[in-house]
Amino acid sequence: MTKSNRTLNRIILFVLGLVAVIVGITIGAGVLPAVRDAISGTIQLPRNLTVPASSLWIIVAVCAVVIVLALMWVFTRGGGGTSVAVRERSGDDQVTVNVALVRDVVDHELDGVRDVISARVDTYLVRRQRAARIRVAVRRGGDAVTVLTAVDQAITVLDRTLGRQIPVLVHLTGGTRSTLAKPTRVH
Amino acid sequence: MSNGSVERRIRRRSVHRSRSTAVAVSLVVLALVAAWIGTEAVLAAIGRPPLLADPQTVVDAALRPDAAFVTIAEVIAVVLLVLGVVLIVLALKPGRQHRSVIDHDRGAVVIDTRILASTAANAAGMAAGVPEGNASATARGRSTKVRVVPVSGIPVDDTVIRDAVRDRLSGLDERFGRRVSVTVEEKGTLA
Repeated sequence: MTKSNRTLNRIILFVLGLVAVIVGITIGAGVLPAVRDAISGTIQLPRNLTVPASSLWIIVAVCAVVIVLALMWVFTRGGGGTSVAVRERSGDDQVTVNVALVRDVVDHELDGVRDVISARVDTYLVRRQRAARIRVAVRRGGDAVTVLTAVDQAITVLDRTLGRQIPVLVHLTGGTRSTLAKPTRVH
Repeated sequence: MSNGSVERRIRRRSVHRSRSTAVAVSLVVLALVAAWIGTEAVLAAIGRPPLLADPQTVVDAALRPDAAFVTIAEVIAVVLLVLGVVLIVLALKPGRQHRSVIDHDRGAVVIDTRILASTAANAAGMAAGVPEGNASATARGRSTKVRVVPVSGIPVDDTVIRDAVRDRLSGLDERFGRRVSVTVEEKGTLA
């Protein structure tokens, strides 16, 4: 639901993994006497190599760039969550509906429904559109069909309340609280 | 209405796992390694004693490795190799979570496999007339396995149970009800 670029994340992981594998093979194979003897005909390793002082500063610069880029990516991840469910402008006037309203409507509609333990609602900006995610925790051994019917009902009420159909994701989930919740004993 | 594309997107993103955490962890590790190399380079440049080894020592050791250096290098190499393979697998595998998509008119609906199984068990228990604890189910993909322990003295008909489970799961999405297998245990329990 967040804004993170998943394709880029995969590419970063793949590149890092590939670099790690290549460096690992190079280090691991490079120090083995057998490998060194085998390649000594084709590649002549220098006996001595002095590290020049200027290259040290180049190493420092490269390291600094790597650190800055890595930390930038780490700290800008996520995002996209918002507390505004609907925003509508007409001229100078503006109406915003907070996620708390959506939360209240859903909680009220799902209150007392069998097999529902809790419902959590949050809203996100997805492609410049506001979408709501409704996560409903279903009791262990519960019946998802009745829960889904109740959620449908809640969404209908929500649509009527907001006066429009916002994109929603309904996630029927277990979660830790449903594991701890008591099974019903009487049918 | 453009709700469709947004809903498809958020549905897809909730079924597949995000690699954000893996990326963040590996980038932080990368930053730490870069910080160490940078510090060593600075210390060598201004002529201070190194933290672990200055670049000149490392280059010399790599060109003429002794036994101790070979051991260290092999350990580092194995760690890098394992990490690299793990990262590549994470990057290439689809990373599906244990969730299924349900076709629905309004909104995108995603259900945990556990809840799907518990719905099947619930339907089976009702149909067989056994207490809730006597019916269990596992779901994988679109096939569902139901196991019922009958209460002794009361016969259980597995076709009735299969029909009940199929009807119930079809209420969610008709694809789920197609492959249902029912096992009725030989031994019953006391009510």
